[in-house]
Amino acid sequence: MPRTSPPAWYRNPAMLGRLAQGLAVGLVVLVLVLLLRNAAANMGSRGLVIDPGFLWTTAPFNIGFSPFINFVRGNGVYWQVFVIGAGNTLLVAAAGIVSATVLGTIIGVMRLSTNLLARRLASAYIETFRNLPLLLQVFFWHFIAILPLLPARKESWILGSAGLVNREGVFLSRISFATPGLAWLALVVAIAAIIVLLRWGRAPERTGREIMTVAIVSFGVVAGLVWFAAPAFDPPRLERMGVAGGFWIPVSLLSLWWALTVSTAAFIAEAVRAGIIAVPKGQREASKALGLSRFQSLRLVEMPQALRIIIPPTISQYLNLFKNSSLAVAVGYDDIVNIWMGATLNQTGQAIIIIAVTMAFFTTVSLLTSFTMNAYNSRVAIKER
Amino acid sequence: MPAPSRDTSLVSWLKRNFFATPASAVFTLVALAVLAWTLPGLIDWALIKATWSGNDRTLCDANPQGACWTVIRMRFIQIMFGLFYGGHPDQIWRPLLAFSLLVPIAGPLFVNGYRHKGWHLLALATLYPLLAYGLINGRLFGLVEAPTSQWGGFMLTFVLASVGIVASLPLGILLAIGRRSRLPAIRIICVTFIEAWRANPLITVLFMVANLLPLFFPSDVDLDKVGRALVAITLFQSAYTAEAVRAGLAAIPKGQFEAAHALGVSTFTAYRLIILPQALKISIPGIVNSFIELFKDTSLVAIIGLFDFLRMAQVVLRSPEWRGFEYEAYVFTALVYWVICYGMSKYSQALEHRLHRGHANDLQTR
Repeated sequence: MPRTSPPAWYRNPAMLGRLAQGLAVGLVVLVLVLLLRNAAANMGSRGLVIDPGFLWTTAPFNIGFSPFINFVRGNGVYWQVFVIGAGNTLLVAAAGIVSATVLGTIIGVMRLSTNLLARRLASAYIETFRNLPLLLQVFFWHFIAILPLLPARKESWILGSAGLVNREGVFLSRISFATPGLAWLALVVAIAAIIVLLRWGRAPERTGREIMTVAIVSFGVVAGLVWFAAPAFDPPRLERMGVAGGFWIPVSLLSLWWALTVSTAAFIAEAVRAGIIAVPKGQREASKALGLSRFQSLRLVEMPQALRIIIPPTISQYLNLFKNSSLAVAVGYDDIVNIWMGATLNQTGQAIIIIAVTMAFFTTVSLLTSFTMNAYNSRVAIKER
Repeated sequence: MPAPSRDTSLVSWLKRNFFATPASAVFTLVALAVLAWTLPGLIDWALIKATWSGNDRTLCDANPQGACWTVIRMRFIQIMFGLFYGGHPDQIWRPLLAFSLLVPIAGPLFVNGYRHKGWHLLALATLYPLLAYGLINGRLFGLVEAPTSQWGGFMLTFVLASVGIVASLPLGILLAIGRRSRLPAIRIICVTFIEAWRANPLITVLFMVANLLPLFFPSDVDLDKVGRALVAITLFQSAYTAEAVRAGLAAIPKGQFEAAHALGVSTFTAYRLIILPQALKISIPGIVNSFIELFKDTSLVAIIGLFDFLRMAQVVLRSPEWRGFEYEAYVFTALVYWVICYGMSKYSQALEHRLHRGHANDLQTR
């Protein structure tokens, strides 16, 4: 038997592996070094410096919509601009995710309805909104559908003490309480009651009567507390130069939210449909045989099983919606792209820092979202032994 | 329960499909009412009462009840081919010729069983872009120059999307293979690259390239706006192409690699001759789907100042000459986008159906 000698280094897979990795890392480092050297040379010749100090300097522009931070022109600084932009992006994305999930589920179930008209309408909806550029949809909703519908400021629609609506957006009344402590207490009781009902009330041995009693009593307590806190509505007032008071929801937020909802719902509907048809037909027939209504069968039998197939594609739709919220720039909503990567970059010229921070923001939120949703997915996934 | 009825009369069909339950009946009636309320008006506006003739807006202004398709007709060349060709309508044979050359060069790729696909692919990737650029830009052939800053309309949208997808293929394939590598350093580099682009919206990438490219490249390399948009789109798209190819690679049974190695075939040759031909075939529908997404997303280049199809139509309709006919611009562009994207998605579905025959392994990897 011939003796086996160790292979030559160029035939040794372990050596070749190390070599390939070394080459790859070296190449990446080389490219990075070249790019950074160019950047240093270019910035030097143009007299540019990377200086994070601009974050604490005053921003010379105004931000229309800043619901969480009080931003005053001439007082606000650039790091606040970033925080406001990021907050506004997250706000429209969160609102869009909730509504797109609801609408997408409805359309997806409609797509499988026994009613032929409902099926056809649902698939027309899906095919329409999946095959049009989102930018076109945003423009359409904002400039063609929503803006011309709304009245000018002078002819605002007054919604009683709730607020008013005009072309600038919706102005809701602010609610103030004579005894704010009681209002906070009401909020705490309400949250506690919801938690109790969801945790305790879902145990199989609870009777409907027990659950109803708890629900009615806690509702009564909350209502009573709110009553004694003496709420007062502070409606927005129409003035010559604008609307004063009230909580403002700009029309750009509404248009963007609606466009994101409608288009993402089309994609979610497809995921919901795929999930439901993957549940064996026997499940539905068995629940029908047990006397469950179509709705009960969907909610209690089919959906819990379908969720396992629905969740993974839906996660990527949530992430798409979050990223697509950057189309805010088309309607002038003050999101991170518009006021940070747009206005701040124009004013300060700190391109490297601003773009790096923006990309870090999108990357962090995307990774966190997919991490959380994957954890949820593994919780509802089939537990195999 | 009684046996299902075998009644096939029209009444029973209607009853089954539209009035099976009270809720279903209510839905049918409400939906019919809404359709009856909206559809006739829409058809009336878009077709029956619409204005098609005339050379300016007088006829349209006289007929406010109908759509004004005159504007699309009058500015068709500008909307489809951009500012330069809008001003030089006698030159549009150049882009038209450039796009018709695609038929002999790329067409055979779609013919089943054609043998010289490799040569066509090579010509498509090397010779064709030069030829097409030479024709559309014109300077290379001594024609009137159409600078890229004046490219626009549907032509620009098409150029951005198709160059983006073709240029992203080599990078995407390398990234997909690298992501499956057993060598940790290579895997980490590829995963980081792919996930960094996928986590960000295209707008961020466009902004990044528009602002940082001039900084990170030597000052004598100066790309115009179209070039920058192409760089951004290619980088962005390569991550999505890589994911589509990865799905194809995942569908190839492990035994294929093992058999190749057992026969003494090197990893490189195994990929080239055994794995990639199968994996790429399976990933074509995925690549077509990501092309549809890219085709729609190219409309975002308007944000960095390019006049793509949608933007061009908007610009025409905001010119003082034609102001007030925005509806028409949106309806026309929507129709064109929809027909193309819907057609491609149907094509991709048919392809998926055809290609997935005989890959029993698919079921396990899903």
